[in-house]
Amino acid sequence: MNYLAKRLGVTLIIAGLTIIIACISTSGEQVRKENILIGLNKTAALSYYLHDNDVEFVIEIIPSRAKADILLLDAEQLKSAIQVADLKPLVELKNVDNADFKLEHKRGLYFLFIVNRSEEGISAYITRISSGVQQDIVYTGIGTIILGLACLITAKLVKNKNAG
Amino acid sequence: MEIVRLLKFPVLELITIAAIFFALSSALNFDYPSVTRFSDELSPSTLWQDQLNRFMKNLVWRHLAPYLGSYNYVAFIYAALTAMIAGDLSSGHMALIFSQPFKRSEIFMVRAGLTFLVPLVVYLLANSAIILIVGGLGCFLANPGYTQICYSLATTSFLYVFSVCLSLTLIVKETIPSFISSLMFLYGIDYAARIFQEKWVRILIPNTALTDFWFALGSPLLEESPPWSSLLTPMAISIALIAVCYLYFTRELEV
Repeated sequence: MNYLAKRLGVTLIIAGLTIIIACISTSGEQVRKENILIGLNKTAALSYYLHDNDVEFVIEIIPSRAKADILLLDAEQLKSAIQVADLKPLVELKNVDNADFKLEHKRGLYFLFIVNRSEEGISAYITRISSGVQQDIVYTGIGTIILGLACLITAKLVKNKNAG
Repeated sequence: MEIVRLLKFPVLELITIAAIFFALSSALNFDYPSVTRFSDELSPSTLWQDQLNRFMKNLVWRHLAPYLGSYNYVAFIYAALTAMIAGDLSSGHMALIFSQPFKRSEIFMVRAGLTFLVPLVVYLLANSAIILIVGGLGCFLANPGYTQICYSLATTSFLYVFSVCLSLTLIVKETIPSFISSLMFLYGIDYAARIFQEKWVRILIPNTALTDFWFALGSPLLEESPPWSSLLTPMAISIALIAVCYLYFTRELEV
């Protein structure tokens, strides 16, 4: 029992450290670009999985005289919009030719809608920049280390008790 | 006691670290492929359901059945663990176990079973935990059939690698040569098999058969059952190799 607790403790601490190291090693800036063509009177819907780090969207509408509505919703907001027709987007920009916004968000699936409000077809250049440490995973790593330490302390206490 | 011997420090720790690191590196860079839809293609309700379903399937596929991504990890871990069996054979420890009142079949079952199951369980636990963190329990509940297929692919690919390593271990019977020959064979066949493009040849080679099955599972066009025939060759070869190892270990092996 004592041996098992000790081994489990060491394994959990190493697992926690691995989690934190993996998080740090993947925290660099990642830029992803997309270009979509949206026809007259059309709405484009794009879906993204966003991690729990800093995310910035830069959207440029071409040609520059063109206008578009930009809406960003998370899965719950989209579900609520469908079921009770209650639209409360995370980001809502109307009649714009470009947009630049940072998100304060949780990990999850997000939907970006671009509604063409021009008299012609448009192009939307979407740049998504994500950077920083993913906090929820780091907390999971810290939690795992604490659990490992608890196992080690338990093993030590049991050993002392048996010796006494 | 055998499990304690097999998982002595730092074997379990190394298996765990590798499994968590591979699973996390994939999860932290997980970028769900954005699918653009237009207003005349889908209504919002079908968009939401469709995208959520695709997202969950993609996440499960990438993490539970990442045959291509995890091949190096699986080959390395099984080559190392089966080399420990070779170490026991060469050092005389296996002769000591044989002198105990245990049947050879029991010793084989325990040793081979533990060697096969421990990396598989650690790998599946690490990846399942990652899926829970990233996508939530819904990923497992939304497509239970699909999840089971991904688990089957992971198990089959682990079984194939394990059976090859175990066979080479019983042939070579020395720790380092066994480890190196397992790795050389597994990496060699993986690279060599890539030159074949004909479908019937690819189905006959376990590595390409598993790769094709993996790609078929990940395809968004997959609506019905996956090409199960691709799993037949790896399963048949694995079972045949393990049966031969069992017969050799219980009847012919001299220590």
